[in-house]
Amino acid sequence: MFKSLNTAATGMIAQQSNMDVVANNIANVNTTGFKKSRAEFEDLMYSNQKDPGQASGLNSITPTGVQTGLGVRTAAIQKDFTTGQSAITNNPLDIQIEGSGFFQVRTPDGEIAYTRDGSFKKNTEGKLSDKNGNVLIPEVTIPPTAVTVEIAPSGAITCIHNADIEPQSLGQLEIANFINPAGLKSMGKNLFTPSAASGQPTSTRPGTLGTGFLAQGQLETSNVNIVDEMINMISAQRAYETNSKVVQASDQMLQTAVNVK
Amino acid sequence: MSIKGIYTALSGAMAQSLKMDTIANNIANVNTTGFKKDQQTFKEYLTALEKEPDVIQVPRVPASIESFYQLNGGDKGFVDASGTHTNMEQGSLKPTGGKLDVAIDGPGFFEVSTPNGVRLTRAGNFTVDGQGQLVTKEGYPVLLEAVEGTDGLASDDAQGRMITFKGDASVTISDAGEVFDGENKIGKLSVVNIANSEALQKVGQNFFTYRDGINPEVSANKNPSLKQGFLETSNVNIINEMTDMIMAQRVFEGTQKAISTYDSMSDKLINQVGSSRA
Repeated sequence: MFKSLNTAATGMIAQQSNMDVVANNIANVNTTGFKKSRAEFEDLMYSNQKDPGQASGLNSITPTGVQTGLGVRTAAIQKDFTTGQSAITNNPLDIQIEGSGFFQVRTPDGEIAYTRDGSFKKNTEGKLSDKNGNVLIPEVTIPPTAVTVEIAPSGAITCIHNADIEPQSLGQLEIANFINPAGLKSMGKNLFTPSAASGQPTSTRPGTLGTGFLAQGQLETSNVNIVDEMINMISAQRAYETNSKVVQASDQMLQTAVNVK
Repeated sequence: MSIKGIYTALSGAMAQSLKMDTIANNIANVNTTGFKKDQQTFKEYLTALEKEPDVIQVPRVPASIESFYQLNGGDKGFVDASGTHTNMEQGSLKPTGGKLDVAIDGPGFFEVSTPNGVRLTRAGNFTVDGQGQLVTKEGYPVLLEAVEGTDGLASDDAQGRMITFKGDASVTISDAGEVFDGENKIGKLSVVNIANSEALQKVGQNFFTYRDGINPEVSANKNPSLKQGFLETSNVNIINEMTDMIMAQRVFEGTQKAISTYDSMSDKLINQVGSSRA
């Protein structure tokens, strides 16, 4: 009886974290380069009241034991790195990775962080940086005289000044790939940091080692699917309600037991 | 009078409480991947079963049922939880689109190498770790099919059966369980059939293990039907569980009534029948 109260509570907690994940996905439905998450559950340990295989008489053993489960817990919150859709912006500094891979930016604490959000800007020194001022690695400086910037699918970046000056090469963009992107740690602001689970990054030219090519003038939309999230939300809410009914029923049973005397 | 029957009612209350615990666990796991619901079974337990059989004398008085069966309290039956059965019914398949999500459509279990030995699971929500190895959510390696040795028996060695991806190509798992890293075939996922499902015991984390003393009749599933990009949902049916829960609760209340009736009977016996006042 007391077990069922706690078991139902673990169910409610699990559905609550399911709901938290759904809420964050829906909140980020228009975030550039956002990757949705999904809560995964597993059953808790089982309490054995009678072990199977005990002797129940001469030459006979009980074939089944008696065990009750103790509830559920959140095993993982799995990130889904499927590619989002393309939104055409025609801004020359908006870049989408058409496939797997991450842009590398240097955060203020000197560490390298990884992002799928390719909406870059020029900072005051003309360096390509993200919305929060983290400079893109390898650094690319766009001269103030440049009229426009061309980014090739393989990452070669050139700038065009006037019609009478030759296009100038500004360098080569590189993107990083991980063996297990789902193991990356989200740190907010569309950035990820590597962990032991993600493996070490391998920096490469776009389009090689399984990475995607670059596309200029477009951005990757969030990969959240509203219909999926709505269905998950309904299922989480109803499962939560059902678990709360179990709490009520256990409570009433407890009340009956208390009222016997 | 004997109020021994109060213990019979108590055993009923305890049984319903156990049933309630199981229902609570089923409902808590209504969104757990690959979860299989549990059911408790109960049986009548007669105290007479504890007695040695003895010789019955031919009755010299007109025979009644008591002449052939010495009751000695054996007329009191108790409820005994006889076993927990896991319902292995197929759960419905939910599309996720994940490359490393695999559902088994039909019978069979994946084999996973854990620190406590090989465990079985129906939850195919795999992932890869930092070394590119195919693992479960807890980081335990998923195993390939065991290679039959020269003696015709499958080897128990889990080390050589792990799956490692290079990470620069997309992963494909065919319906027959073949794992491809890009175009290279790595091997075939191990799916085993358990003919005697009573030999399986749940250990949490979506894992099953073998019970001691019962032959599980394991055989490799040569032609499994796997679905990449799908997960098997829990086979818990909310409506069934809610109905069972109402039943358990009401029967529990009924046994409590029986207990309080015994209580008021004793009360009458002690305080009214046995009253020394006239």
